[in-house]
Amino acid sequence: MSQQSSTAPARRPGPPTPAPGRPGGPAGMPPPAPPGQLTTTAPVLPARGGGLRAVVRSAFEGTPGRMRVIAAVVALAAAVFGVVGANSLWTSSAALERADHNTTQVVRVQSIYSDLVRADAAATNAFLVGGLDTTGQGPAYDEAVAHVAATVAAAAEAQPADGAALGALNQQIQTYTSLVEQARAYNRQGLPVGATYLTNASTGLRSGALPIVTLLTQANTDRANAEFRQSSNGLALGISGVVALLVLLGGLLWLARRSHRYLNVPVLVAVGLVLVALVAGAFTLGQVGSTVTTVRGTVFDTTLDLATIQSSAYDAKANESLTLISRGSGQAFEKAWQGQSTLVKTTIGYIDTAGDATLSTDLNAKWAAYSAKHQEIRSQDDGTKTVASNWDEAVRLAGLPTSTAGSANATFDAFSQATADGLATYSQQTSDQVLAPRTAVTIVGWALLLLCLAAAGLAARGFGQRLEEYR
Amino acid sequence: MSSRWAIRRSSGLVSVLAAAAVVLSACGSGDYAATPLPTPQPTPSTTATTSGPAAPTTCTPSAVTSYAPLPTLDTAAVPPSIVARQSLRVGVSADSLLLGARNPLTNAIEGFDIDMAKAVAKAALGDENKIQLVVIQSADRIPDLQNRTVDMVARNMSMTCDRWNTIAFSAEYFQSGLKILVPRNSKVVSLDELKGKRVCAPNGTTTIDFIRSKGVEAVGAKTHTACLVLFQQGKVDAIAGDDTVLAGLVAQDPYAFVPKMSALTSEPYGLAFNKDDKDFVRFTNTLLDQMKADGRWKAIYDKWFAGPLGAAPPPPTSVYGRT
Repeated sequence: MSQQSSTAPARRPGPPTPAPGRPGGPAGMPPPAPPGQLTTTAPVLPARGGGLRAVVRSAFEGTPGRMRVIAAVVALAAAVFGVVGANSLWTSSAALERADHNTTQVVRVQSIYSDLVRADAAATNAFLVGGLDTTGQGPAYDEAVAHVAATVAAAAEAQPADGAALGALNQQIQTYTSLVEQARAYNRQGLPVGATYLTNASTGLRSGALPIVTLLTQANTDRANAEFRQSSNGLALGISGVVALLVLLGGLLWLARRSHRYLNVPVLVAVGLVLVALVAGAFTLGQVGSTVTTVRGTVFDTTLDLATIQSSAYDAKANESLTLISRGSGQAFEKAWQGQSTLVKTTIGYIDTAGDATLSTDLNAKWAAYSAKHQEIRSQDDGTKTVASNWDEAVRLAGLPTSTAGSANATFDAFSQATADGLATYSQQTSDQVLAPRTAVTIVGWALLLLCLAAAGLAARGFGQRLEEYR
Repeated sequence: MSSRWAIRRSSGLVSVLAAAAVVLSACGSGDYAATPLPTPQPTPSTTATTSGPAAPTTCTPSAVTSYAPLPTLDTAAVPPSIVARQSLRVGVSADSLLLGARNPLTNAIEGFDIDMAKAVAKAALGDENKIQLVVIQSADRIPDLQNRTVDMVARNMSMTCDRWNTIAFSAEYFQSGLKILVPRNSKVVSLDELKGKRVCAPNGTTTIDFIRSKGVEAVGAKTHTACLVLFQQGKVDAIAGDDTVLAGLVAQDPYAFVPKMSALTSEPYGLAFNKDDKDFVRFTNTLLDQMKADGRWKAIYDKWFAGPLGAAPPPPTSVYGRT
């Protein structure tokens, strides 16, 4: 320990540091002296390790020592805030991108659901008519199944975590399509066992494949929501920013007391820079948070609602055919139709609440038009206590092709087209709005980092000025 | 000098932290837990349900005994609800080839049972087309009669002591017998040889109760045709059913075969009615007796079964005496 340090604070303790510009080793490594010659400025240092320790120890002794420590802490606080804050913003930007991927996957998976029930609606409807398929539902089935295959492949590529579930789904779809093919083949031979294959296919689709799709939708919605939360998470930025600010202010105060000067300009500027960085970072994440809240409350919600409407509507249509195929004992299927219809109408109501009255009015009108046709079919099939049922007429009504204006298939087609258009528009809007803040957030991240590094530099410089006075 | 040191030191730290930040942001890069799969559930089609405790096989009056026929075909006996509706609602099968099955090419349901039901509609309402065929499953037959969803059931329904407690039957209109269906190359000729094997029968039938008592692994399905699907998929080894029903299944699958065997049980078919419609049952019995006598019964039998089962036997004798 140096005894002078208490009496002569102005004297710089410790060993010499390498001269400026001189290529030297790390601090504490004395220049090599020629053998036998003693250096005049520094004592001979013992072993290398012990010397380093002594140098470090003496560098932090006394007021200048403390000043160095505080300088380091202050600069470090600003730098840490720079890194943590910038990282928060970049993470936010990346989370937005992942949220977009996840919402796209939700839409994709939901389209698998509605394509499957669309395929089933087409298969059952074609079957219902009997004989040669005159409704054009056969090609509609093939088209829906082909679309499912393509979407499953795309979904598996987009989200590896869905791989196992999609594999299991693929297996179920293969079982379904092979049962439908068998049903078609038997049907062409005029054998009743075909109807049983078709019913088994429909039942298996609903008990085997669709639950997997529901879980896929849920998992991806959860992932999207987690990323949305992550994108506006300002906790790390806030804490590190406030800490940096307090440390800088503390340093400024300490320096003012020690040096009897009120303000150290570089440190003061550093405080300002950190404050600006903190406000800008917090404001940006706040903006992201409000964008995300808006997206989730409007376009993303509407996208999910439209997907629900689409799949429920196709499910209802398949149940309409299954009710008729059951020929008098299809009450369970009609009950399912009622349930799906209620779900469709309730969900259209949510779209109105989310702000798109035009779309909800249009969809409501189109669903009402189809529902009226469905009721006509039902009343023909059911009959009343006094009026005999007319199953053949019910089947004729249900089997009219989409090209027949005002038929059940035509009104349903109009509804599903409007839903599909709405879904395409809203999923694009969701994607656009989610991705919109990304560039700005990334730039603010870099700006925050640079501001904080500058603040760290200024703070170090401010302390350096005072340290100079101790020479 | 020392200020430089401070800067150098802190910028060194910055680069370390920046590197850490890269690692940090890489951590949250969407490594999600795998999407869960639904927990597998037992396939409902292969769970057998029993129709209850073993039913008595003998009773007084006997299971084939029905109410005495009316002296003439008096339409006053037809329930007013049927007359008002001008349509007879009949519970039928749509997938029992030859008995009651939908023809996929014409969409019409046709078969022996359907022709019998049409004969009743013609007698009651004057037109065989004043009929509404309601497709029901075996297990629905009794509940649908009890809650009057249908006026009559013409769906290969066996007359049993037990069923007389809840519904009413016409006189016997068809004599069938329980047999088994096996793969064409099988050497099996009796149910005993199928002990421990999977044998399918529709839920809620006398058949499934019978085969379970014989030590086979009974597999229930909704209908006999659903059994055929399980048979074709290799999920069951054999199907138990009335020879008429099995004939319809064999007609749909060249690899299915009913070995030459004597019937395991005798299955007398009756048209089934609500327990309270005694007069309508008596009306129907009058009609059945006329049809058995004037050759209409034989004509319908030959139309559907002459091919697979041979020429028509004498019609079953009507037994009356129930009050």
